[in-house]
Amino acid sequence: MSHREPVELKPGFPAGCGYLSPGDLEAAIAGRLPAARAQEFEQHLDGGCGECATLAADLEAFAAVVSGGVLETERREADRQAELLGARLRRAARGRQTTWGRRWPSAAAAVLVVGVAAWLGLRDGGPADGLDIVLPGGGSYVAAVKSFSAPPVLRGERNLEELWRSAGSAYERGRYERAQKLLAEILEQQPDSFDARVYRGVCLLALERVGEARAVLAEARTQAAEQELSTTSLAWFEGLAALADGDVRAASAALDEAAAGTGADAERARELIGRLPD
Amino acid sequence: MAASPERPLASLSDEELVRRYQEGAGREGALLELYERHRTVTYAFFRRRIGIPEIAAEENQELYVTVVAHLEEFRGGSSFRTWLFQIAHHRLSHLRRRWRVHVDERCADVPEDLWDQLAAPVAGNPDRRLDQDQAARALRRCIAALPEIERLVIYGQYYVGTTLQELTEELKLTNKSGARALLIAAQRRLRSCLAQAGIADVEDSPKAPS
Repeated sequence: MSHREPVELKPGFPAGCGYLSPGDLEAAIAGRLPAARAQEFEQHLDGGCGECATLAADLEAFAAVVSGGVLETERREADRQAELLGARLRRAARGRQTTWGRRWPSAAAAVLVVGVAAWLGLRDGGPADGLDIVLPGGGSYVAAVKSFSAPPVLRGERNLEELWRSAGSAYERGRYERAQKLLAEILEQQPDSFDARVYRGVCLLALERVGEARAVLAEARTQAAEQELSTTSLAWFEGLAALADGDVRAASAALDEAAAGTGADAERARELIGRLPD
Repeated sequence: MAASPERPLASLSDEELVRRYQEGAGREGALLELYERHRTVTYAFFRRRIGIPEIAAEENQELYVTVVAHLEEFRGGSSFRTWLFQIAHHRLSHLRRRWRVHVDERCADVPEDLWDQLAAPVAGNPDRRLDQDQAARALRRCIAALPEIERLVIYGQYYVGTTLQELTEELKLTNKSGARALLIAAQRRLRSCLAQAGIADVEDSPKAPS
C-alpha cells in the first residue's frame, strides 16, 4: 500500500492560542508543567487573551479527567455510544484507502485546468494541458496536466458521503461553483474537515475568487497548525493563490515552504520558484 | 522499530499502535484499540466542557472520525493523548464559533448587568485593592471555564438580550425551569470561580431574571 511522505513537525509548534507548545500541553496534561512556565502562562492569561482562556479551561478539564478518572455516569454514557462509533470506525478504517499523495495532484490539476479554461474563455473547464499564471515581470508559468480526478469520498456517514460524492462529481466536471457550495455544506457539518476546506479553497481559486480562496486557505493554515498536519500541498496552493493575487512576497514565502517539503507539489513549487523573476 | 505482530494489541503503547496503523498491518485492530483506550476520557472531557450528553457524544464521534482522517500524518511530535486533546480543543473552538460564544469575540467588554450582579460590588471595594480591570479579566476567565451550554445561556441573556423563554425554545430544553436552571447554575459557578480568584465572596443567592 502507499504511504504518505513523512511530515516534518516543527519544534514548539503552537496549539490553540499559540502560547503553549505541544511539549507544554503534554506536561500540563500530565500535571508536570514547570512552575515557572505555569506562572508565565498565568501572566499571559491575565493579559486578557480570550483564546488562551478557553485553552486553559479545556486543558484543566482534560487534565482533571486524566488524573481524576471518569465518573460512572460518564462511563455509562460513553459505553452507550461506543458500539455505534466502533462500527463507524471499522468502516472508516477499511474505507480509507486514498492518501493525500494521490489526492493532491488532482486538486493541483484542477487549478491548472482553470488557468487554461480562463485562457480559452471556457468556465466549465474542458480538456486542457497548460496553465497561464502570469509571472511578475512578464512571462507565464506553464505546466502539463496529466490527470484530473475528483476528491474521493472519505466519510462513512451517509449524508456526508453523498455530499462528498456530489462535490467530487461537480469538481470533476469543472463545476467549481457547485463544488465549493457543496464543500461549504460539508464544512457546516464537519467544521474540522481540513480536506473540505482546502478543496474549497482550490475551487474558489479556480473561480478566480482569489481573495476568498486565500481566506479559506488561511483558515486551513490555522487548522493545519493546530492539528499538526502536513502543509506542503497547502503551501503550494497558497503560493499559487498569492501569485494570482499579485502578492509576490507571500507567494515566494509559501512556495519556499512547499519546496522544502516532499512529493509532487514540492516538485512543482521548486519548478515554479525557478521560473520566478529575480 | 516496528511493533512485533505477535504481541497482543493491549500490550502495545499508543505510539506502537499508531505505527501499526500507519504501516497498514492490522490497522482496524490498532485503531479500535486506540479508541477503546481513550474513548471514555475524551467523552468525559466533552461532557464536562459542553454540558449536554447528546452533543458531547456527537463531538466525541467526530473527534475519532478526524483521528481516522489524519492518523497517517501523525508523527509523534507529542503523545497520542496530547494529539487527541489538541483535536478535541479544536472541535470545541469550532463549536464556540458556531454557537457564537467564543470568548475572544466577546472579551472586550463585560456587560453591565452581569458585571453588576457578579463583580462590581467587590471590584469597587477599596479594601480589596482590586481594580475593575482585574475583576473583568477574572470574570472573562471564569466565563471561559463554563460548560458551553451555560456559557451560551450567559451570552444569550447578558450579551445578546435573548429571553430565557427564547433560550429554552432554541435549546429545546424540556426540563421544567428551562434555561433558567442553566442560568442559575452558571451564575453559581461564576461566583464560585470569582471567589477562588479572590475577586468576590461566594454569595449563593442567584438573581436570575424571570
